[in-house]
Amino acid sequence: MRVLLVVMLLGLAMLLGACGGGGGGGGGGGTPTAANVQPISVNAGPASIANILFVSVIVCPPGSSANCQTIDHVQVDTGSTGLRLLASVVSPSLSLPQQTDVNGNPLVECVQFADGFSWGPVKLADMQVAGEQANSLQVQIIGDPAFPTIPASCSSSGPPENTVPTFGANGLLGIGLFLQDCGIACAQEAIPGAYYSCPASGCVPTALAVARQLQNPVGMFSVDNNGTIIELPSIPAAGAATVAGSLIFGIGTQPNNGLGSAKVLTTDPNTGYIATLFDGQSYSTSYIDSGSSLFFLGESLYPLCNRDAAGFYCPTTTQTLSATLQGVNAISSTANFSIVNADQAIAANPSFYAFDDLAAPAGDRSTFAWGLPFFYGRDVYTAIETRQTPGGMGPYFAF
Amino acid sequence: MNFDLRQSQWLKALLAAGALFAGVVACPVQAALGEPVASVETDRLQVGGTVRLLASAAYTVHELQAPSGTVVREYVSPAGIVFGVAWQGPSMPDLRQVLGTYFDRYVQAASKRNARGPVAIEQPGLIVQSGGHMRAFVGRAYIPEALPAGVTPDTIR
Repeated sequence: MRVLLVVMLLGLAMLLGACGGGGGGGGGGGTPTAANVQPISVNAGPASIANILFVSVIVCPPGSSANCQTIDHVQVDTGSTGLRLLASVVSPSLSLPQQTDVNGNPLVECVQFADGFSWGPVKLADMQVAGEQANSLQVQIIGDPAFPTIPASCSSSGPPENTVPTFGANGLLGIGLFLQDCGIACAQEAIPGAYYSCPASGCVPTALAVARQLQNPVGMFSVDNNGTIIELPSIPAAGAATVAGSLIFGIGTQPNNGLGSAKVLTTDPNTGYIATLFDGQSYSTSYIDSGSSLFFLGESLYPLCNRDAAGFYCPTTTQTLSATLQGVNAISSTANFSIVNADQAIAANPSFYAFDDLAAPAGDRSTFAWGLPFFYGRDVYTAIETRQTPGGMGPYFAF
Repeated sequence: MNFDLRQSQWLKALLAAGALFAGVVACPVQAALGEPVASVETDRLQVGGTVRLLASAAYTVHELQAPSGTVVREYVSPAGIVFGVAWQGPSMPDLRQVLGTYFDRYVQAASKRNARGPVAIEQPGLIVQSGGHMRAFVGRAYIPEALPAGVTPDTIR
């Protein structure tokens, strides 16, 4: 018994030893580094939805630098993973190669969001943004007329978002916490509502190796590939017509992307959730998400709007509020924010598309989604899972 | 850790009770929102996975785990009507199946919203809430008028 105990203690000591170290930034060294700053903006965009953060990306056929297309108004999303483009904005002359399964059948993806789904084939492209490059990147081409029949197991998750107006943007640059959109679950099982194999007889769910799924484009960069910073300025209380900011690639990899005084809040490694404490309640389903256009919190906290902003919160007076965000690592940080009467705010400035004080019910009493309003006036860091940064290993948010 | 252990023992006890209970109500099966529990089995066949049956005085919970890991719970009243459903997991559930005749109403209402992110639909006779993000979805739907006496919406989770 005692021998066993000693062996166990030794094992424990070895484990602890193995856990030391960490950190290490992966700096630029002496080699020249790519420019890592890309302009981003909030504006009316192609669908006139408030608080959509846009970026432009350059897409080329794999290995080609001549036949490329710049695609603007691609939404920046820290709540998902993968580059997705609407078929209607992608030039057919790009001729991006279709991805196929082991039998040579086309691979098509059904991507699910909390508010709907998008359907389209998986193709391959090289993507450039700022001076960064993701080569041979899997890209979903949403609403491609070559695959018009959507399987029932895909369309059954909610409203379709297969056109620019219903999608709200020309595409989605998913640069969230995860390296792939689905991960190991889709490699082990053919999951309805994820990847499909599409022979002429019809599309059926298929398992797909992790490496062949949609990848986090930032994770594919040769440098600055451990995360991102979104920097947006503060905006006036009444809102703004447009806002300009920066998307910075890498965390602690260059002189311009250090953590500074930002607090690192690690997330649950499977869900990407942190916790939020607000008004005496604990919200365990909480996350920071540039792809959500509002603060989404609780249910029935304030009266609902009934005019332009139907479904949003419309408190009778502006609510000046404070909440504490807490990571899985027990590090917490306080955020001050406001919630205005959305009907009045939008009616007062119908040409405005940036508001830092719009909110809507999330649905249940445990959800608090810190959408784009949270990002104004803050530098928000999103660190990718398994990647080392000076603040520790991802996944985490920091601000 | 202790809590998990206790919870799993508690679940086992409930499952044992459920197995007994199952003898009374035929087999543990699922139905869509607002439909009688007798219509079921469809869901389990369609979604696959495993079903658990949990019973309490005021309602019965049919819990189904899809291959993706997403868990769907259906809350059945003593009268045998599904008054609420809740889901949690890495993929969205088959809402057409889970919401039944309410699915089209949900899609129509959710499509009208001028925002991106979690959805909360509040209509007479129907509440639907869908949130979370890629790899971690959470939501529920219920018919407020159909909640059994003493059951609050917070029960459905």
